Amino acid sequence: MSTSRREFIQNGLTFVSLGMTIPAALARASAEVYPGGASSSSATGNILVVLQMFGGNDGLNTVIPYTDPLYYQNRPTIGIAKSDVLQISDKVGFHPAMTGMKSLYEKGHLAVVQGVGYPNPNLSHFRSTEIWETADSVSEIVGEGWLGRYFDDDGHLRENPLVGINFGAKVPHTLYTDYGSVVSMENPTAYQMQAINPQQRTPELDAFTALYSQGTLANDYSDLVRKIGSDAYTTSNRIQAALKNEIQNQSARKMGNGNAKLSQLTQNLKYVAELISADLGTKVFYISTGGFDTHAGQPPTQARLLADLSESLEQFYSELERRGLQNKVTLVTFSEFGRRVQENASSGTDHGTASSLFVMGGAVKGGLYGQYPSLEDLDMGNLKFNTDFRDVYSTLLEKWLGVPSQKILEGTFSPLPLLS
Amino acid sequence: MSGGVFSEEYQRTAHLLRRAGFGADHDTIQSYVQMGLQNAVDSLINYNPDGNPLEIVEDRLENDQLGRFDINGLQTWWLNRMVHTTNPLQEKMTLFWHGHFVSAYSKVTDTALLYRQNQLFRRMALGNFRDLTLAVSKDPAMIWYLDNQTNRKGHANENYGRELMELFTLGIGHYTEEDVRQGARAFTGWSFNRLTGEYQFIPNQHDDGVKTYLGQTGNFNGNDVVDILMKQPSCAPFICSKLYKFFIHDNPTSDDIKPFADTMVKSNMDIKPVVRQMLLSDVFYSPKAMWQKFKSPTEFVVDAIRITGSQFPLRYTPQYMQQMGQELFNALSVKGWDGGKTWINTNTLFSRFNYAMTLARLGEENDPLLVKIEDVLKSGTVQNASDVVDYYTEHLLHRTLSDQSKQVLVAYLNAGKNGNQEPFEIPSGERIPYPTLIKVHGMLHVMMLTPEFQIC
Repeated sequence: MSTSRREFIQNGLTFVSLGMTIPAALARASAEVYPGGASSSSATGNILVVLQMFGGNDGLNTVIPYTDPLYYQNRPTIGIAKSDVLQISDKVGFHPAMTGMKSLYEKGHLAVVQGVGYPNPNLSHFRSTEIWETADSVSEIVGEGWLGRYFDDDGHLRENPLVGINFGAKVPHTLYTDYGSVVSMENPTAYQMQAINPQQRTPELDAFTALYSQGTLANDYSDLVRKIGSDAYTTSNRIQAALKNEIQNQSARKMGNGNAKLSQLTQNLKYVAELISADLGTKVFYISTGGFDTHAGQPPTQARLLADLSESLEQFYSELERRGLQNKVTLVTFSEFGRRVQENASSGTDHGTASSLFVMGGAVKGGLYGQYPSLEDLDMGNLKFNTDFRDVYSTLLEKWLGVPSQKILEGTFSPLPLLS
Repeated sequence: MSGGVFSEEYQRTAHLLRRAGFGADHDTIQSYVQMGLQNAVDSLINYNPDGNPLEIVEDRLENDQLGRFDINGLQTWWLNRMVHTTNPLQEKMTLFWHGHFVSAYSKVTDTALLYRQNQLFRRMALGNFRDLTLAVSKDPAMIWYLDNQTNRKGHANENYGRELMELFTLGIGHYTEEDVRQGARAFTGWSFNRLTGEYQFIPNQHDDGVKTYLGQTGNFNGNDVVDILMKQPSCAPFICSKLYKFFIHDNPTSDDIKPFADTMVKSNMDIKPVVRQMLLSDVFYSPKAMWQKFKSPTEFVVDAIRITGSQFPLRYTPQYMQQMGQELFNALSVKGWDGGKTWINTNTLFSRFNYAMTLARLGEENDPLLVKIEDVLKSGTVQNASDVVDYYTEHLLHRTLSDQSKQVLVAYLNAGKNGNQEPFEIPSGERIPYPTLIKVHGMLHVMMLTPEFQIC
């Protein structure tokens, strides 16, 4: 870290504690404040996309150990027949809905990390999600997220709130920082300030700018609003400019026939591709999808969700290829846990532990990593992990984002050889 | 400025009405000030649980007319009720239970069941926590949401048994994975009839074997489980901590919680004495609590509607609330809404700003908001831009603004074309001209953009 950057952080913190936001950030010509990718002082120009699958995806029916008789014994109702499995090795294969991901795998752009988990697994959705999001399974107090610590350590968030972009109305813990929060956006069309009429637009924006750049009554709550409100305003113009075409395409698809409309996941990944092209200095994109908590009636639900995931990833990859960006982008998936080996009486599965995750990109060395957990040697009916999820994080931090991982992860983990 | 709004009594009463209800207009606050604080709290607490006659008619209409998949209609019905209720604390507690015992339309695609669950929360809003927990365990929307209709003996479905402990009664860390499995067995066969929408016990799906649950052993069913949960030492503090965060401030310590948890245990898990104690506590009116919470999206929209009197159709409000991070009847997870600082991010702020715009926008000729503004301008109480800002600071924000913020609003009213300063004038005459009105509308929008307006 350079001296000037450290000074900047110090100043930034002083600013916040005085209840002041950065007035320069509110300059009308905000586009000139952050000269896009050129301002980036990170070690690499690489971009990480994190895709969270809420609810605990059933790993056993995603990457299926189709030669193991125990799999079929435990899952007489919901087990997937060997003939339907999309085989990727002589031991495992994908769920039949994952044709797109099978094709990515065959082309060598997809790594499958098996048996991922952590010691003393927690079977609560919320606690386990926190553990994944903070990379901390010990603290009771939930602090910064692992990528939040990356931003803080790297100093980027203070220079550019667009360093992280989350798609959604709720910021995931992964991106929490001590400094503030990254940009969050559920629907890019609505991500801009509206005035009561066109004539009042300039006066209203002037008033807003003045209100948010000078002291309101001293209070941590109003200070936080001023900081985030300033970020919202300064980033919206740049995002609107970057997404102009894709927003038009999206509304044209909405107006058109039903087939043309994309799933939320596919659409959001299209926006991501567009934003990567626009080079706003964004290092991390965060996308989420949900519905994986399949306690009952699992087969049709999971098939629909995995089909969406698989198609979305395939389309995203070809979009990146079309733009020549595939070697700059790595995408990683995760879900808070896998599910119980033995199915329940509701054609579903209860909360479990270890599972597989996926890493996709042009720089990824496709193939299988980690060991498939034994279906015989279980812990209260749950799989035992063999690859710590923080090994995956350290891979992404060290080998992709180009920063040391020990401080961020508060421990030493072993990167996997899955990036070239 | 007049002394009334900034007197301590007024400030405390306005705070009480924001936290124990959804805010109030100036006249309503004044009427509560007249009562004195203790009477004001008691009048909020001792409401008529049957509601007022108008609400009874509205409920009947909702019950009769609600389309099964009309989630927007259901959301609009409840918003309307929050805006117009004569029992603000009952509605606020209904919102509390709705965010505690979560069931969501994303899975429970039958609005009639969600409507009935909401009426259950309203009926038992300040009732007994054991009775409520048991009623929720038999509530069809909850049974559906957490899959208990498929929880059968043999391989029990753990979904309800787990969340009952983790999220509804004890909190994480106060039970084992084995308790989850044993508790799930006790609820096997607790189902509902899809045709009638009523709770139904199915004996041949119930596991009537012996279970060991939280250290006790017996042939337990769901009733026994609820009774055992109520006796756990972590139960009352868990609920009181959530109530404390909902009403008082975001960061209570266990010492802060203790007096309320003691009251809850002493009253056999009644909620009413706990809430009364909170609303009369010193800490509730202390600087630690006053203006120390972000408005939830529900508080933001209902407060904004009530104090502006805007006639923007309520049915368009839920889509904004979804963007603000709180879609009623459709929380993203069974954990409900985290609240506190998580309400505020770039996306949610834009949604608040743009919703405020729809409320402040100049409406039709007889729009009550417009009429109100004309009345204010013609009343003679305001002469210039500074007066207008003061008037609305008192009536809309119920607090002082910093000098800088006030100057911004005054400058907005005084700004002429091409950025020139041009004194804001209120012409005499029958109708106030459009350029003057539009300025006041714009100023109201800007006032709702202030950081101060996001806080309660």
